[in-house]
Amino acid sequence: MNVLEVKDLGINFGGLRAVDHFNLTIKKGELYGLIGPNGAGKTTVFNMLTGVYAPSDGKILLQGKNINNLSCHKISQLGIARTFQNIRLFKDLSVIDNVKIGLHERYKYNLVDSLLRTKRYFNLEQQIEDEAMELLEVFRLHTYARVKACNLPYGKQRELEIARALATHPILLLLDEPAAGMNPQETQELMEVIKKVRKNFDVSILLIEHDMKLVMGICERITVLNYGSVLLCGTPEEVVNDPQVIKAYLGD
Amino acid sequence: MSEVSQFLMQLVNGINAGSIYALIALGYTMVYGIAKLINFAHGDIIMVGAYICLFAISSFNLPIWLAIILSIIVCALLGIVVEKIAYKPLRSASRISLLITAIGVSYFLQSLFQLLFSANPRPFPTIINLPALSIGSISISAPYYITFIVSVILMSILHLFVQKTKIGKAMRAVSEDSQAAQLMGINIDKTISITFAIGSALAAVAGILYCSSYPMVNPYLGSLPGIKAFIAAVLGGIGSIPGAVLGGFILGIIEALTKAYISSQLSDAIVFTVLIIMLVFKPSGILGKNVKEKV
Repeated sequence: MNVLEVKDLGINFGGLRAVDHFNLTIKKGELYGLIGPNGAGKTTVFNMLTGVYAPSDGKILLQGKNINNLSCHKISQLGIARTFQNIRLFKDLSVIDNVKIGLHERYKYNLVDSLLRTKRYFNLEQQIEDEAMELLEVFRLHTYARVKACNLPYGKQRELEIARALATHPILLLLDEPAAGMNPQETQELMEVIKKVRKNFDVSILLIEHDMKLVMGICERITVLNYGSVLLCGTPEEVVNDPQVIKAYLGD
Repeated sequence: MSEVSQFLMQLVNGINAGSIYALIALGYTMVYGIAKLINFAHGDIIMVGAYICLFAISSFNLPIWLAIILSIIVCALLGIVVEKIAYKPLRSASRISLLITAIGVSYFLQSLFQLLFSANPRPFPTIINLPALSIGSISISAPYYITFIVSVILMSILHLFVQKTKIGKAMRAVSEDSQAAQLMGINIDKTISITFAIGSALAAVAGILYCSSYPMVNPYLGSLPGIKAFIAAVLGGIGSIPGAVLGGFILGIIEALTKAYISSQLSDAIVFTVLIIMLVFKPSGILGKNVKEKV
């Protein structure tokens, strides 16, 4: 079954057609790449998938369910999580609290429980704590649990953002340029992390990336976007050898 | 009365006013943190709280505890309704539109209450019937120490709420980055409503405590304490909860000492001067953070 199906998606910003007839199908467990030159509309696609922008036309189906025009938090609850091009952690919260924010939606206890500190509250808080710790261990962030998020090194902040997104238990994870600003060694580590995430969390991944080594190294299929339209869709080998793609990136 | 006990007495006055300012300032600072809005109608919620408590006791003969709870609930609901009707439609508008709307809501509430209950002040019933407390040479009247105790308790509960509960954490996440918070599954409308409800509930308590010390109710009752609490919030660092408490107490004490030792007519002017000095030298407030933009 397809996790995500996007049909003829388009959006206008005033007179500008930013994305036009965008189609995309992601299968369960797939690691999919979305590439294209700067300004091609990749992040705009992400923003439509997560409900930040309302598409002007077309359909977004998540496991067959239409999610057009749902609010961001509804879409998050239905199973799409994302990271951002420029890191947007809750900087003043501790590392573990960042992850807990993502977990909280799924643990229900009410205000009375939390103010009266009932047994139920302590049990649930313990479960949340345990799950958050487990998640941090996957990213080897558990030793930093009580540190403020803004005090982590850059590469670790990127990984924490992925951990926070995974805390919402997504079925589809969107990574917006996860390797941006990383050195080659950090990028190498990140590739391992992404592979591990897909294996351990049973999640499909769609990623935007400029680092071709990373994209070619881990993505199974790739869509190339140029001036808001799909230029090509295929395997990494097909994409690198396509003259159109080379032209879009390098010019004539 | 000796110099020392005179000074202590003024300090007690300052702490009393400061507790009330702090309670009101919490509402300003929380709403600012979450909605990036200076809610100038916040002061008038105090007035509404005082009127409701007054009528519940004098017209409907409700017991005092019930009147207080009723006043808190009505004000919390009023806070939510004001946000839904006046501020929510403007959420993507510029900040200045929101600010002007808030001033409009403030005048609306004042005029509404003037129309309904006339501008004549009404006496507020005595609701705190306890003996005065004598410590050494000074005696502290019941409304004063009750105000202090109630404020400290409420502030502690609020602190626990924001630090420890799930909704509190959601509130902190929304105040840091509302978009990222939404994308983590946090319902931002609900979070904003809760923030307004809590702020307004604290304002209701502040209104009742204020009227216990100065037992006169009129439709403009909220504006001056409201403005002073706003100054307190800015002084402490707007957006910061401990800052609002600190700012409230500092402002209350400065005001009381000015009244006693400099001039009671000049006290408001001096309080506003403190604000100006603060804005010139440390615009982010005592506990506020300087947001530096990286270039």
